[in-house]
Amino acid sequence: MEVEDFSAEALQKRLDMADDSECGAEQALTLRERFRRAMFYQEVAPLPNFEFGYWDRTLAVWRTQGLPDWVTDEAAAYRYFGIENWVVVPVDLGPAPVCEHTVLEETDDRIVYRDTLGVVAQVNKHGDQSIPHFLDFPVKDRATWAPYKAALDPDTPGRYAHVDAALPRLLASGAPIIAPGGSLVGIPRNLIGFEHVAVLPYEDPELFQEIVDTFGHLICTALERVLPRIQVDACMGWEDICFNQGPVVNPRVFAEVAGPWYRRISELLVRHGCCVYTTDTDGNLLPIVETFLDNGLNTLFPVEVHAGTDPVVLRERYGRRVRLWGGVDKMALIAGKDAIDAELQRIRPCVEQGGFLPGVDHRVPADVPLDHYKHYMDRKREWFGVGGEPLY
Amino acid sequence: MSELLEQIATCIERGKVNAASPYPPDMRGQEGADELVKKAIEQGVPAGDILSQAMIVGMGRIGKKFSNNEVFVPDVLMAAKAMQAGMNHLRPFFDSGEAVHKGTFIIGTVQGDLHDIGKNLVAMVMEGGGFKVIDLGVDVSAEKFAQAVKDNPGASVGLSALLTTTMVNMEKTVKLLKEQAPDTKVVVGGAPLTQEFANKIGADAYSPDPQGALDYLTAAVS
Repeated sequence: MEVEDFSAEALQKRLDMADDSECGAEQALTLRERFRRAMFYQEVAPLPNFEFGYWDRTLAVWRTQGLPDWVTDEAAAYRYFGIENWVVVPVDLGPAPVCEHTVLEETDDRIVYRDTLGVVAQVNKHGDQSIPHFLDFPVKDRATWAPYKAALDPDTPGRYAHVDAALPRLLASGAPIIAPGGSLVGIPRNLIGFEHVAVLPYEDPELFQEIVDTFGHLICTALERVLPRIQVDACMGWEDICFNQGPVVNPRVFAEVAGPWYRRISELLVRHGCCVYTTDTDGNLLPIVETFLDNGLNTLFPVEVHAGTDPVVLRERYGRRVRLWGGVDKMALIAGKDAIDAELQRIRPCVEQGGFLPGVDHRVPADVPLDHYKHYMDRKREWFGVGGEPLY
Repeated sequence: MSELLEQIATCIERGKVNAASPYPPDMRGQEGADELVKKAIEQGVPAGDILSQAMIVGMGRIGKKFSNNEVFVPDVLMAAKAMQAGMNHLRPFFDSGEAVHKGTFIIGTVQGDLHDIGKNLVAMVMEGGGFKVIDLGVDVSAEKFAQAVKDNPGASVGLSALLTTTMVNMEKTVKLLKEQAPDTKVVVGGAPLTQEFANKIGADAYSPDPQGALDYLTAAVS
């Protein structure tokens, strides 16, 4: 069997053949064109200025530090700081709802609810809103999995309901067009629970395989329907399956069960001229990074430094095989301007190699002072030549 | 170590819960920690020996492998399940005093933080390491930690946080605990933490992984 070549050179060749006319050197490049050049190690100025956003409380805290009152959401913050963005083809790759969202308990401090997938969770009304505290998970065994398997039917009405209307807007935006890449283990983790999904491959390997296969089938079927209709520049999935101690499932199991699906998806993308494939996974993903790279998932995001996913280490180990979005340690933004400068200088050689869109390695927390964040954005423009016009 | 105790240690290290468990595949059909601990008790092996010479040994092996990145979270969880299966047979001996814990360990995530995955892992490893664990859950106030220490004199405390914005609440908790019971050992951990931060807030130790916390407190209480 012929093995697909996912080297940077091979991908570049495909891109040149697929899209030869778009990157005119004499005209100002669109953000979309700049993105493509950046991700294929070509010279580009300015570099796309992408970021991951902010935790809910951050903008409110910054408004007490001088952020204008009109900056109340992420879109406004992006305008203010001159951050650029991508657009996403609106395909729903999650399970269809299996129940009504129900509030089970509400006090002055917290809300306990059952969401539309049957997960019972608690959120605090005050302080930082990040991952909820999960109290109960609906999938416990093969019997309780059955309704979710049905809810992952690629033909479920509504999955593609917004695609047609969105296509003209996406194409007119001039921004990179991203196909959603779904989830192979992350959503199952949300349905099954961290501790159970971690041991499920040991206790019931057939069920774990079936669950991942179901999600993989949905992703591939959906992409086969959407990719012929619009040229996408990248595909971005979501997993969030790593912690600072590594992945939620054994790396060998991950390679055996999820690896072949990443390969199928990446091959499908390449056949449609999309050569940038990433998935959002926080934490320390070093134990599974080769599963990603070997199967064509060639871009890491958000490259969380303090957890152990260091862009400098990744580039030393994997060179141009690995493309990076993120990779600026948020702890430096908390620490101060000297720490920010040191962190940006530390990763600067990697950014200058190309294939690296530097940004904060997760949402910016509220303990980053606005002054530090502005300094970070200014330095990013000065040293890395990123685009976008700030309003401050 | 007797052959039976070594078998128990191996079952716990490798996550062999019971005879019906399909994992690990090369031990399929063999007795697990559940059956072997029961057998050891029936043969008259002292409960304290089963705990200290077999179960804690097995958990210690997997914990060290985890610290060295030789195994991963799922492997620790399977070992903890095997440990739990064996501990179910030992509970009456703890009640009678025939088996004793190394000490009491109080753990929780600090106020404002709802993330309990790391906290739960540490609790499992500490229990597997011979400590009585009192899990206060998530979003625990400094006052609640202090009350738990008052109720359990001599207990050690573990504080966990995932967010940079909540790890600052550790400082308040450490301060209150040290004011109330200066000898209380406080270990802190969580994704955003560093040794430097632990030093700054006056914690006794920082550990990036569960085994580090266990090793520190085992040495501290011995």
